[in-house]
Amino acid sequence: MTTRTILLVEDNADDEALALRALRRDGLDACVEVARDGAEALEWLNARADATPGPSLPVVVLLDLKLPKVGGIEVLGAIRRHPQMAHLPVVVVTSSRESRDLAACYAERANGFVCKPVEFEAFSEAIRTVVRYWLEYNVPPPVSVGD
Amino acid sequence: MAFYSVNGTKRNDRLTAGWLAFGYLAVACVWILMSDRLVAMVARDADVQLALQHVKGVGFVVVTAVFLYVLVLRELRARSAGESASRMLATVLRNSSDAISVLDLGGRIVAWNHGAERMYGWTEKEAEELEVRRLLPEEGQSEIEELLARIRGGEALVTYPTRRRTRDGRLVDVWLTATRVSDETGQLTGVALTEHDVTAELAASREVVRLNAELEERVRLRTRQLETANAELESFSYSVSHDLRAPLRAIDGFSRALLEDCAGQLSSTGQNYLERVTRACGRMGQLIDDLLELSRTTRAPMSVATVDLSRVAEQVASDLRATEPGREVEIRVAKDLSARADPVLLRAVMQNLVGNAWKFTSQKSVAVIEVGMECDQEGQPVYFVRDNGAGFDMQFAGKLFGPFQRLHSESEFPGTGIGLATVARIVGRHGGRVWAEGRPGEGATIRFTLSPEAG
Ligand SMILES: Nc1ncnc2c1ncn2[C@@H]1O[C@H](COP(=O)(O)OP(=O)(O)OP(=O)(O)O)[C@@H](O)[C@H]1O
Ligand SMILES: [Mg+2]
Repeated sequence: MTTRTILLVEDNADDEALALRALRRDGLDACVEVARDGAEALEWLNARADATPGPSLPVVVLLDLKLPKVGGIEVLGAIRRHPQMAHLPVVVVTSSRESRDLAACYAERANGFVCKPVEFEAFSEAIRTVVRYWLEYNVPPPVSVGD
Repeated sequence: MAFYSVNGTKRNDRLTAGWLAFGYLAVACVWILMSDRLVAMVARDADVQLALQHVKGVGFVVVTAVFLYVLVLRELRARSAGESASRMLATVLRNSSDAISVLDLGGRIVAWNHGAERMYGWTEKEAEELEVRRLLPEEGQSEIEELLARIRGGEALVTYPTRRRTRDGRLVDVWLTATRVSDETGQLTGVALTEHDVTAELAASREVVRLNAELEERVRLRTRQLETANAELESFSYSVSHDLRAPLRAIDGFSRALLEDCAGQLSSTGQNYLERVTRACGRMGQLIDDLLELSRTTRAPMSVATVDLSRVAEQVASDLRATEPGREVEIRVAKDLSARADPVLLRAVMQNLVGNAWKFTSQKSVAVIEVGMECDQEGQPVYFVRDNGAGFDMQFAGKLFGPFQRLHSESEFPGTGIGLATVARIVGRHGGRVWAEGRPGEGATIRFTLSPEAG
């Protein structure tokens, strides 16, 4: 069985640890890759998208918005403009509920927008639900659609 | 050097004189021929005829003499009137405050009035020897040649702004008017230059341009202020929703992790403490949401009314006294302060400003807080809240009004750093501005206006 990956883009070490904890709890059949800023995330993704037949792209990207260097919305834009990643599932997971962020994310065709709850129980529930959905229930598009 | 020359056409005069003489000749001839016959017809007697002839002759001479007298007198009068007029004109021109000079066709100065003397510094006598180029600035040395060419080319009047160099090397802005000078026969002999000093006018128009530019700059500044205020507002909400939630989530998350993973190592008291921590996190999450709500309400529509600011300040002061009855603070509120503002928002302003003054004077044994009003140069009211408290370093004065910006430590003076940001936002919504002055250890003054400055 090929190991599937999830990319978590998160600059806050605490949030990262909590998200990992939430995911570990569930015993998910996937490994979690972490990028700590937008530039790192894009580098990692681009390397995979451009390598043929290299390692496959993640099942889902959990993307924070307020990131150092390259912001989340820019990352999303860059992903969408890449021919191999136009359909890559990206769920924005952020503390902000700003309407302009919402608008910007959906304008860049985000697959979802989750506002991180303050309470840990709610937070871990949200993360687990999102990841389980993409991992277990979602059927990805056929390979040819990417171009 | 004369300033007046008669150069009217002489042909008309000659024609008139010719006709007059011819008329006289004709009338006189007819008279001489006809009058003898008339005498012969009237009197037959030779003696009577002779007497009549005498009378006729004398009469003719008398009439001619009278004519001659009248004509000569008129001519003499006209001439003396003309002379005095020309003298007057010469005086006017000589004393004109404009610099008036006449150049011959070779560009030599042949006339030079007192105005020119005053403006340029050379006397009439010196001007005779003056090289006209001395008057021209370096960049316009060929100006007079070009001007003479235009006049020679037939232009009757040439006028343009230019510059002159004075004897002591100063440059003067002048408005030049050049006209042809010609002799009796209409032959061009030179050019008369009238140079009006426009330095003052130019300075005035430059001032107008400068003032306009300044006005535009002020409009730009105001727009920028509004934009900053808006941007700040956005970043405020953003910070609150993002930056404050993240650490809370960490506190709550790790407390739970501790409870789950290390429950065995924790006493029941320790577990209870952790439960409290997570409960407090929940409350604080709620507080943050409330804060955001507040920020939304300050964006709500305003209703401006006349507010009794003195009363508002007194109320705020007595509320503060009620919270800390033990403190001795002298609060001086000026009488009859009024303002056009939204009453709810203005109260929030006073709560924050007087509240800060109260807080930052807490370490003073004699605390004095003053609320008052001054007028700026334009007569606009400037309200102020002054205290003799901890003060601050002016170097950071600009930072005070940013959300969550604090200049004192939490342990020294508790607070979150939202008060002055709120004040700035409210004042900005009224079209005014707020600024702070302070000295470490000596106190602070926060001033604000509630309407746009004039201009
Ligand atoms: N009267 C004052 N004297 C000295 N420093 C002041 C005064 N008013 C404000 N400051 C400085 O400006 C900072 C920001 O003031 P502001 O009112 O925004 O925040 P705060 O009073 O610290 O907190 P909050 O008002 O949100 O409870 C203060 O922390 C303090 O350092
Ligand atoms: Mg305050």
